[in-house]
Amino acid sequence: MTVSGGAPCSRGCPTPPAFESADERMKQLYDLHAGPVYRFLLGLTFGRRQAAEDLLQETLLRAWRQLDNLDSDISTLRPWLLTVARRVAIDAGRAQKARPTVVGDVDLSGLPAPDNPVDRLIVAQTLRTSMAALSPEHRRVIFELYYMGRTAPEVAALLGIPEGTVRSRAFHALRSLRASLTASESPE
Amino acid sequence: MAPVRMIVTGADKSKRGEIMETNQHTGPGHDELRESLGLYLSGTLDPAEERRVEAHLAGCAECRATADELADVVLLLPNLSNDDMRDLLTPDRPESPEPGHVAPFRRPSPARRRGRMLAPLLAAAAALVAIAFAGGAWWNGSYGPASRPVSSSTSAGATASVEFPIDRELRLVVVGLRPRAEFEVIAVARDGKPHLLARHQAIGGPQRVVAETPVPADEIVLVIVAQLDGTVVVAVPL
Repeated sequence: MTVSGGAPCSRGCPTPPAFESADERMKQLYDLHAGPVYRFLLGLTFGRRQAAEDLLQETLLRAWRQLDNLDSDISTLRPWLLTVARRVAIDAGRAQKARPTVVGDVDLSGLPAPDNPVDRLIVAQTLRTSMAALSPEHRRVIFELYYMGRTAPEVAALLGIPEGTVRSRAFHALRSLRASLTASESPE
Repeated sequence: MAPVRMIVTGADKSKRGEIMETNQHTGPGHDELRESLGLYLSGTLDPAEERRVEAHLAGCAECRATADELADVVLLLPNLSNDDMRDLLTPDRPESPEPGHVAPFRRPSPARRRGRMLAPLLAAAAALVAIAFAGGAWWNGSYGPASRPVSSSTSAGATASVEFPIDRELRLVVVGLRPRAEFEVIAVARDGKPHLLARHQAIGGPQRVVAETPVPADEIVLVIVAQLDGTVVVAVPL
């Protein structure tokens, strides 16, 4: 959709163009959102500016590719950009074998951001406990996808299950893991 | 989950936004795309399917919220190494929640296990002698029911032994602290909550600490000895 997102105009205002160019929309997107997305990424990277800038570029590149599918009102796109930014950060962390990354800005209620070794140990222990509470099938799919980097067809072939089952297990395993992590953080 | 409306400005856009949300929630493919979020976050979807998921996320606030929740979990995964995960997959894991279950995964080779275990064992050997000596005299006559010392060490040579002679009473001997260095003893409970048990200055040689724990002994899964700057001296998983 590339309908113009101009503000309502009273009589006498110049008529906005029916379509904005992709360049204009990207410029608008950058002006409105690059700063906040960059700051969000700075948090994810513990203040490493170069890493945050690289992740911002990748996020904007994905926005460029999806421009036709995005709401024409550029001002509404920040939630989507932050979702994609998280995913881009996950990819970067995986590529660098960086450990650990961060909790993020969301409420994994009180799980400490592992920016020092003690917190890191505590997060690892909490994660280990929650992971142990998963079903063996869910644990196995998480291991193959997220630790071994296998694709869904590869995991399906390895485990002798349909690809759709891998898809389903990956989703529900993460949900269960989150439920376990957040439950362990509930107040006494 | 309650439907979440996109924030749009202007009457026309508001209407269009509602239509977009409705279509995304009820349209074909929503459930399938939602269930693809785990694979999307694993980075293993092919590029075409990945673009399809991202296009869906652009119009579906519910899936965006779910993706954000799951992404926060995925961001934590690097805190466990591949070896940690392999250990969780092995059938002889004592804390397995499914007793008797045989996970369909081969055990790490003996050579790899030896590689992981050998260095800390060697590093610990001398220190354990000191701990056994000091601790043996100190613990004399104080053992409670079913409590045995658990030891751990680091490649840097620090070693600690933890014991609960009675419930809620932790006894620790640690070797490898710099003389006069301040250190903390932290117990991590099963729910992930850290409890600061003690803060001391090392006196040199085996350092002994007795501390009351705010939670029962069987709730404690990890004891950490750390310097005040956050450097971990040694951690003892229980």
